[in-house]
Amino acid sequence: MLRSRVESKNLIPAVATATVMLIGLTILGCQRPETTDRKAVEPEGHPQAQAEAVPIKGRAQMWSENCMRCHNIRDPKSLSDTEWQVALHQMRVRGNLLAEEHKGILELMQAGN
Amino acid sequence: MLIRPKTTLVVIATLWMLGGGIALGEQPDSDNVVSREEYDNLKKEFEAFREQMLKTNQNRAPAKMDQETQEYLQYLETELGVVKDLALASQQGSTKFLVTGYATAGFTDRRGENSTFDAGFNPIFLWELNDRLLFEGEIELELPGDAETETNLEYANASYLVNDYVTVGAGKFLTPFGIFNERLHPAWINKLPDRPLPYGSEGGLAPVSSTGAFVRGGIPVGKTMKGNYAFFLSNGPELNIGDVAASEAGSLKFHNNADSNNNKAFGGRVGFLPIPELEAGYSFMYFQAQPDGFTNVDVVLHAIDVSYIRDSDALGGVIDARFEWVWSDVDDATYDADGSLGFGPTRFNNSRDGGYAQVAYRPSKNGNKVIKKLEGVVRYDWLNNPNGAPESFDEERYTCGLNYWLTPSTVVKAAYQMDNKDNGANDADAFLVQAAIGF
Repeated sequence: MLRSRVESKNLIPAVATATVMLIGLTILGCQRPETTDRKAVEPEGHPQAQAEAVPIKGRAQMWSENCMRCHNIRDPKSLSDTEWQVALHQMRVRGNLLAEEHKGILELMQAGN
Repeated sequence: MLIRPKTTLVVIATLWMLGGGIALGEQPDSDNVVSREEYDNLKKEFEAFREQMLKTNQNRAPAKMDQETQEYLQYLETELGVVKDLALASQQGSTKFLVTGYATAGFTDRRGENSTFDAGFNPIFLWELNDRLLFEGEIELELPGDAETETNLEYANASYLVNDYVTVGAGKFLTPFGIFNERLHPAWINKLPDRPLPYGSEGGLAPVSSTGAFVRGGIPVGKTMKGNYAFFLSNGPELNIGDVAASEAGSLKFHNNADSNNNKAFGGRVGFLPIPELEAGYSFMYFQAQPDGFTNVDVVLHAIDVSYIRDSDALGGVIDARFEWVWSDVDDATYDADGSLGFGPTRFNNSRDGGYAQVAYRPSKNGNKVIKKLEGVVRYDWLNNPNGAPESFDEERYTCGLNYWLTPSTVVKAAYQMDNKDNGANDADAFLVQAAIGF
């Protein structure tokens, strides 16, 4: 019993650090203009896309660096534009992709279709 | 017959008039006569006029084409309307759905066991309700050796993107402890046919999945670096008291869909990428695992992981190096206290550790179309169990494999595994073959 109390106390700094970090990220993230809203993702050539899209080289680099971290990179044509939206949403969560990476890779996959 | 003079005159006059009329009719009128020259001129003019008319008609052809084009455009417009109607009729609405997953076919020939074929199918269902809300679920269909098809719910959870840095979710999820279970376990991603020892589905040191809630995300660090985090609160695993097999006493039952006590498990992983190719992470998990009849048994799990993946021209391909080390520290407890299970009472220092180091290389830039699809893999994995535990032994394995990638997500893997156990346990060298398709 004594040992369990001691070990539980050892975890208090970790839990506290995690809590503070999460609160900070939530506040910071909510103050920042979001990339999460995918309305900004328009088809290639669309004026809005040209204005806001990540540069092609940057997108390709994001694609290879992030996807290859776990698996081989797949052909953009293997999924439709809509399917890529869903697949990359899952990868954003599972692979902890940055919002900009999520947006950039999605743009690249849709442009490759 | 008497011919009267008056009548004669009339006849003569009539004949004259007729004759004169005829003669006048045959005589050319100077105003109406066309000479040969005039005729030829008129013919030339006619020919010129004819040519001009032909040219005019030719010039009028485009006008005819325009009309045809307009008719064709009208036809296309009609057809487009039909296609639009069809597209609208088949539109799925604002939500988006994707079925993905993977399937395997394998063969294992392990020393001391009968060689056997096996197969598996893991469909994954993804449902994006909107830009922020996602449901993911995976069903694992397996063929155990002595039973009908086994169905497991590998994970089923919903997540919500709160902002660029924070995602929250709840349900059953792959546990973010280390990286193998969460990122590398799908058969088309795992570079060898089996799991490394610390992440084994039986006897492993870490949970594959957990039921609870999580918060996670990625954050940029400076201009080129980045970090990521994942924390979770879930039902806690339960201590195995050895009631099924004495060798399992002191291990942890991670397949705990319902919590055995009110103390939940808390854990997570923090990762850091100083350069895109390199990632290092630290994971932890804390819970109490005592079943009924046991005093508090605290459990603390720790793990470190390092990955280096680089696609290099100098190396002529892709090098993939990974290392993970897991520690499990379970409070001491007395097993089979009344001796009813036949191996107790026994008490031991219940500390375990295990890990793996794996390097794979694929010469993807080689000009030969066969060689560029080959991949060599070497892995060393180990698992140290408590010395005083019933039927306990330590184990280490060396596994060498050769993969052939048919497509980026379809691979045929062949590997030979050299097994080494202590405490008199039989080594179980194995030959493993597996085909895996990610779809």
